[in-house]
Amino acid sequence: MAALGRRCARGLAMTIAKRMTDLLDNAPGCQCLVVGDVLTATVLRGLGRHGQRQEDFDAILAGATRCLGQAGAAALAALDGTGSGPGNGPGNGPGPEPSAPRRATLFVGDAMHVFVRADDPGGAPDAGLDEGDEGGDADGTEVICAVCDADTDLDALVPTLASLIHDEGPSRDAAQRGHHV
Amino acid sequence: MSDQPAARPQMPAPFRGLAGVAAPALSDDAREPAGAERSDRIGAPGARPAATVARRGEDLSGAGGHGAEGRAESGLEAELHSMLTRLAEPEAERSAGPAGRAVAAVPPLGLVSGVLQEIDETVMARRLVLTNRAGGVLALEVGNRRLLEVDGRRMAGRGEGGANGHTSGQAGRGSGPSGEGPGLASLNLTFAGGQDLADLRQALVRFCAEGGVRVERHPSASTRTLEQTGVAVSTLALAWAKGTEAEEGGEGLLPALFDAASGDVRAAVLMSGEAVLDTAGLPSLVEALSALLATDTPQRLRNEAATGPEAIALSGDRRLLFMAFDGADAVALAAAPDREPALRALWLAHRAEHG
Repeated sequence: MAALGRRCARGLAMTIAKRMTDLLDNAPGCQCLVVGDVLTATVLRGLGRHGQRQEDFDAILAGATRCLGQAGAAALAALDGTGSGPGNGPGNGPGPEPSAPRRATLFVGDAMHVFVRADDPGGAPDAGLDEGDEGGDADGTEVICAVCDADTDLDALVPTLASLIHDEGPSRDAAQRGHHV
Repeated sequence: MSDQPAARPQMPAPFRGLAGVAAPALSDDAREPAGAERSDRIGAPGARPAATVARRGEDLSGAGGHGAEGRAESGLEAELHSMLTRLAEPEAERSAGPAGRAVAAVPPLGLVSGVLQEIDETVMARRLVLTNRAGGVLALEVGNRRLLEVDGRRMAGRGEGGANGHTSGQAGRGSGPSGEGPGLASLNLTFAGGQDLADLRQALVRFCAEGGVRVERHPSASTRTLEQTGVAVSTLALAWAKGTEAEEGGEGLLPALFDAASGDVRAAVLMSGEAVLDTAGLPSLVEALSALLATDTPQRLRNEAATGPEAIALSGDRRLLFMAFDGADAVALAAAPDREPALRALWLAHRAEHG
């Protein structure tokens, strides 16, 4: 949240919005994208092909909060035999537990909801934004959600999702020069 | 009336499609004198000739010694003959027999189909009294080919056909010991929901599983009102079809997923309700998965608005937890994170296969 907030303040949010638009335009089967914060259950940005409303984005983020938050952490912790005490999960504390899911996929009907943590190291290479005040999701509560067709190629989509926040690319340079893309 | 079966090229539509269970038995009954011990329990001492029993098996399973076409023809002819014989049979003959007719010598699920056929063949208001080998009694109020009421509560003795006079509308599970009902207290089908029909099916399966099921027909003693329409056989057949498929072949979505995935993961657990149906893999992980499914965590993860089957894959640094839900069934799989694409593909394939 803090990282994205800093970037919003610098005008980089426009960059993220444009990336979301590009991704939605170019990713086959991808119907909706939501960037949000599971700690505060806040939708930071939502974009859909079919005129989805704010409550639709909220519902999608709620799925991410369940899967990547305390309930998901408790489920994975049960496999590790570590248990999951209250107050430590992403939905209930400052950062993710060691067992907290890095990503989750929810299959409902013909749709597939994909939730990826913004700091998922397996999603995209870190572009160095976690250093200092340059960005990154140090608290691990930012997530990117995508609603896709069930047969969407996740191996290609997940890295692209993570790059929405991590990979600022040329736009970052433009933003640093004071231009909004 | 019964001398022109070949004149009709096909059975009337309402009589097609249901399992031909009791057809030979009915024609046998018609040849026996009224009030006689018309049909012994299949497999019991003094049972009907083996040839007759074998013929029943052919009708139900389609695995007789004839060719496929011949079986189809003989099945249709038997059904038609059965129906016409029954229509021509004096009512007194059908209701006076103390022992009734054996429905069929088939597994319980086939017996349930036999009960469906009995209902489908009952136009006038009748009370069908089913008894099983354990002495259980179940009474069905039937009319206009619809099941109106079920009573497994008041029938205390075999062959009793007394008035019921109840319309509780509540399906209740009782202990169902011998001599009592099959665990179903009383049910008015007019206002029955899907769960009521599922409960009724389970009660019937348990009842038929005792074996030696017979059916007797009695005049209805129900004080039926016009608004009491019951439920049609076609509705019952549809409501029971899914459960039958799952129980007969283990072909439910999640059992099939379990079978396909359990060999490729570290641990797998298949549950239905609170019962663990099957497990595979590392014992410690199986125990952890079973414990996890017993908590409310899966419910907290599920989408409250979802009405059909759903699946959730959670990828951690070291583990992948894949859970799938379909009604009361649940599957939990523990695997390495890199197995996610394979499990996802399995889920999608089975989801598509099971509609």
